[in-house]
Amino acid sequence: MKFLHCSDIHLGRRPVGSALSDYSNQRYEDYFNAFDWIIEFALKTSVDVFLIAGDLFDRRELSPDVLERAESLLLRLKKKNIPVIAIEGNHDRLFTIEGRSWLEYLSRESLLYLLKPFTLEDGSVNFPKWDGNSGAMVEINGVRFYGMGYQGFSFQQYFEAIANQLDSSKTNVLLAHTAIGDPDKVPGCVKEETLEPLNGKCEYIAGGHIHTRHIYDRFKMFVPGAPEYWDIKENGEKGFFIYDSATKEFEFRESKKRLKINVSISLENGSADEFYSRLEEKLNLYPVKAGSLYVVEVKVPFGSFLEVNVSDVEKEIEEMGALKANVFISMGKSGATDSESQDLEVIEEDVIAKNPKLAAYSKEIANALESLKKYHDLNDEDGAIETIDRLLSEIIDGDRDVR
Amino acid sequence: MVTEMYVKRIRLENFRSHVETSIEFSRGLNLILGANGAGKSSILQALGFAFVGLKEDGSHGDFIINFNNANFANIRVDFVASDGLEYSVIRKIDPRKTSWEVISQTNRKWRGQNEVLSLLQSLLSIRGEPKKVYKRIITASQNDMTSAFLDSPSERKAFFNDLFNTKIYKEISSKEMKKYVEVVASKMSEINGGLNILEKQIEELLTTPQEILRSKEELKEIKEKLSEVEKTEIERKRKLNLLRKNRELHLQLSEKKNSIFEKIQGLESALKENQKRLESAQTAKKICEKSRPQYEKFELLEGESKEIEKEQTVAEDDVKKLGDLEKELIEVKNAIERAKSEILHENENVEKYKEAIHALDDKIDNKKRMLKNLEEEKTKKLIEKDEISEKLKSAQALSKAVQKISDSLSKINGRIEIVSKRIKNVDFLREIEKLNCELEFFEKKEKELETFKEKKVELREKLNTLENSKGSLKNGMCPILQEKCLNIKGKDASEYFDEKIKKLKGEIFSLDAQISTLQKESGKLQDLKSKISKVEFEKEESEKGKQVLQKLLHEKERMINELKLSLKNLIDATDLKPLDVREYVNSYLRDLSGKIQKNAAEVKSIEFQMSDLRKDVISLEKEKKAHSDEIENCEVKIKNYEHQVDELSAKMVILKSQITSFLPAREKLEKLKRRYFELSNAMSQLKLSHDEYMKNISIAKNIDEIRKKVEDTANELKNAKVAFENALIQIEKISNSYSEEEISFLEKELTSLNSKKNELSNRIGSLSERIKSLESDLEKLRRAKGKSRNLKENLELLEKKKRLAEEIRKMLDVMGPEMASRYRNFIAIRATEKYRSLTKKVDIVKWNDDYDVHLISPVNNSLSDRHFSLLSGGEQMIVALAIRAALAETFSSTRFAVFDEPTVNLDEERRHSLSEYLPKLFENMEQILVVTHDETFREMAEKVINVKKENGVTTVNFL
Repeated sequence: MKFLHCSDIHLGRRPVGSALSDYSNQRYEDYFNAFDWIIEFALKTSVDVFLIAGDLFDRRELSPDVLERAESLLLRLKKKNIPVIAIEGNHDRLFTIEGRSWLEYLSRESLLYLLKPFTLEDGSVNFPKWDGNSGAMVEINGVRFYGMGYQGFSFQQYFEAIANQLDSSKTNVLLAHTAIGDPDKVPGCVKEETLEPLNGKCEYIAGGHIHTRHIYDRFKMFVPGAPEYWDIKENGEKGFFIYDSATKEFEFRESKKRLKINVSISLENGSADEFYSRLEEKLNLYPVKAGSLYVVEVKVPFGSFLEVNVSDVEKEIEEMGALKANVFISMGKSGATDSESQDLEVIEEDVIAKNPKLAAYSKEIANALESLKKYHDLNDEDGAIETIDRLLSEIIDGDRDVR
Repeated sequence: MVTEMYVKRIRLENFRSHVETSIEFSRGLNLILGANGAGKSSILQALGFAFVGLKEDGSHGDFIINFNNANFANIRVDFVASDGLEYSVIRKIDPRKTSWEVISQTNRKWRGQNEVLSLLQSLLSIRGEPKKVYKRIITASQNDMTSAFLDSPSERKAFFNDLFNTKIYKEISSKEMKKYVEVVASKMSEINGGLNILEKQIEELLTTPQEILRSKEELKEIKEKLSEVEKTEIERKRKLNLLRKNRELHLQLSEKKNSIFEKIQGLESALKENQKRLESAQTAKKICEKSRPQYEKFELLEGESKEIEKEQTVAEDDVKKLGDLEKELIEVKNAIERAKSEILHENENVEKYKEAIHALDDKIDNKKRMLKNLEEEKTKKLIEKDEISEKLKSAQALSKAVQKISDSLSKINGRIEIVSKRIKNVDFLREIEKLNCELEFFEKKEKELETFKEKKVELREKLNTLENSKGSLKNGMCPILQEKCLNIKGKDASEYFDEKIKKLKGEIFSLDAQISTLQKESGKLQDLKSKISKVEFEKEESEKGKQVLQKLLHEKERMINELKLSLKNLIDATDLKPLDVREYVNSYLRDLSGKIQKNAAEVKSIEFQMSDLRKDVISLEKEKKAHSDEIENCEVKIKNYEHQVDELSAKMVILKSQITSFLPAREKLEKLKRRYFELSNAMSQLKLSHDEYMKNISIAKNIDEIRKKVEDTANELKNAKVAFENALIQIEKISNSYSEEEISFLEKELTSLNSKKNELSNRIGSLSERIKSLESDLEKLRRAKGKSRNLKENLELLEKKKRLAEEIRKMLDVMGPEMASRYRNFIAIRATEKYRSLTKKVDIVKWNDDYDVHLISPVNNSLSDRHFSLLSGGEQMIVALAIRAALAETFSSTRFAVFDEPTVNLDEERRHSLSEYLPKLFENMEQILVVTHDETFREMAEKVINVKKENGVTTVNFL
């Protein structure tokens, strides 16, 4: 059986700014067009099942227009008897216990199966079979589709629960609105070890949440990315997957989206003249295309004084035909060494790296320090000693490997 | 991708001045507005305590307000966390202990300080130590907006170093890392102790390998010796076996020789026996040759006599059969006679039954005739019954009719009586005439009365007129003209009128007398009139009654006639009165029903008689049937007998012919008996010689066989004697091939070899044991060496760890200042970005060592570098906000901020600057809570929460 997996469609999104502008209206259409294109593809290639791994809508509250258009798009799949399986993402998940999301409405209208786990009073999680109205599992042509939805910081508990409930002898596909990452940096992502209990139990994990394409081979987890730029600064590949459970082969397809041109300028002295001459070079190299999004990143050395009115520059580029221009200035390099990163996360690493004996293990030491601080605050000496020992063993083992 | 964190609602119970407060917050700027001491800051305290456990000095009990004697306080904060999901954090405070709990949308609960704090750190996206970040960065309180940068260097250092947590590296170095190094060192010394013991062990075991080698060589030698002994033993055993075998063979041959000898003796006696038998057989043969002719003749005669015996048996059978046949013939003849007499007897019986049937037929006929007569009589009676019934029916109808008519008659008679009474025999006409005369008289009087009455009325009117005139005249009025008349005046009215009035009154009086007389008469007139009408009515009634009477009499007559007519056919009723008629009819009816009853009784008796007769006939006919059955029976018997006779006669014919064929047998039998007698005589003369022959011939017959046996036995004997000779030779030979002495010598030698072997084996066993124990020692040695190697490796590893740990300690000791410098640098860049986007200027915010802030601006073609303290109040505020925003972004990715009285102690310029830039700076913040007592931010707030204190209790409203 062949299924299509997309995610983070964000129907109904309008960019920040004046809601009545041409830019806002066109972008509003863009999200529908991107979804329309995917549906056309599904119909043309007659896939067996259509998966939406969360964030079909950009908001929990919908305008009638968004709902009506979403319904008519889904109806086209229904007419061709292509079942749609969806989960809620953080954007369209119901907000309070008593509430009901628009996805639930679509589910009751039989336009899709909304899969949701069932949480008991004691916090235990169940994935019951679809009973005609609700459930967390649908079996189609011998393939079991499980829906986990979006669980924020509680994903671990849900992954543990489903790992216990999955029958490894079956073909299991799990839809979860998440991707692998540091949940403290990107809330809603999960660490690799969170997926560990599922290893070998799923044929395919249909992920989402992150807006660019990712494949995590070890867990057979696939994140297709948002088919249309959710934010003008987003980059990377975006599209959807086609998976064939018979051959176990997958195919990634780029989605149809608005043309976006990214250019980056690094200034050396940070003067306005330098900026304009470098910008012109870039504009010649990457001319503005009608209706495109044009993003210019300007890296300015710290200590320089760039006197440029960014919004004037944006207006000029828009007059050249861009639907929207975005110029943003980032300040880099304080004049200190080049190796000094501007990412706070690695400041400690940088400092540690100054010691030549420890430089090779700065990352490990920084990570250990993170834990050590916690143990220090908690006055947990045993925990601290264990952490130190693990760190040192790691370093020594690493040395041996090198040798 | 993710919704930012914001607070939805806070609920406080018995918390400080809040007895029961619930506040809903919106996204964007929320203003908590109120006078000093109204309870605004308590809301922030509650938030800080719920989110990160932030608390000023003092015990938890200080939070509790003893309102309603409640000895507890509760805080519940509902918020949307950085993962976009809703959570509630709940703190329950009582003086002894407090609880802390987070509940998710799906009702999952987190308890326990560490778990909750670590979760909240994630939910609020705080990086770094939560309490500090929350207190110093998420919250900006009172006057530390700008003052933090104006404080003395040491104060600034303390504030920011605490925030950046630069101390922690040194602390970790001197506590955890130091402890680790100590632990490692103690482990190392422990391992060294263990190593020493191992080394001693190894030394003790070092000679083990050579000892094993030596022992193995010795073992080899002994094994070789053993194998030699074993070889000798085998050789000796083989030799001994051979000798023993020869001894055995000798024994066997002796036994064989003895058995052959016994056989020879047996054969010799058998030969003697057989020779004797041969001689007697030859004698018998001679006797047989002499008596042979007599023997043969006897045999001939004996054959004939046996033949005759056979024939004689057949003839005897035939004679016996003949006798049987003759007997049977007599029996058949008797049976035929018996059957014939039976037939005769049965015929007689038939005749007897026929006569009986005849008599019965007569009887039946008689009965049937009687039955017929009765039938006729019954029919007659039934007809009679019908006739009487018919009569009865009509009589009943008649009776009914008579009844009806006589009822009508008596009715009519009654009416006639009534009507007759009504009729009076009076002369009504004369009476009426008389009365009418009287009436006429009274009517005249009546008319007179009327006239008087009219006259009286007239007179009264006249009187009135006169009296009126008299009155008016008195008043001077003209009675005619009805007006005052002077003419009249003064005239005497009474004089003029009284006379006339008096006269009139007298007239009226006399009239009244007459009228009353006449009125009395008038009463009589009325009586008379009613009398006349009564008489007239009576007259009319009487006439009507006469008419009715006439009709009734007529009717009566008609009925009597009708009655007579209806009786005419039955009786002569002419002279009968109606009542008698009824009586008569009734007696007639009674008569008829009597007749019917009688008739029914007669019919019944006839039917009884008939039924008896029928029964008789049936029983007679049954009897008749029985007789004819008997006859049939007899006839069947007769037929059977006749058939018997026929069969028996046929049998008799056959028997007679059989007897004829058997008759010659008797003669033949006589002849045979005679011949048998002759033969017996001849045979007795030959009998002796015949027996002699028979006796010797059986002996002579075996003569050849016996001769052969004699020859065989002689041969066998000869062979046995040869075998005996051979055995003797063999025995002679073998008795020389062994000797008993030799055997016993060998046996002794073998015993000694065996004991030698045992001794050697024992030595091998003990040597093997020794080698085994040596080998286990060797294993011990190997293990000890391995362990020692491991320990040494371990020691090496620990040494490495210790060195590494010390290196890290060195690094950590100096890391704090380095980190602070990096942080400052990092934040200065971010702050510059913020500053530039706020002011649209290109100035640079610098943050040097000692945390002193400088603003560097391009002025003309050079740079102006100003210390924070030299900036204008407005500039200070902007720079401070920019740094704060940079810090907020760095230490927490949350877009949630709290400002506690930011305008306190600010001059006008700073306050203005703050109100201008703060919202700009935080325009992409999800939520800002500002606690303030003034109205600076009121216009831009999404929500204003007014806090007031009444009677020591805080109240909240949203305006």
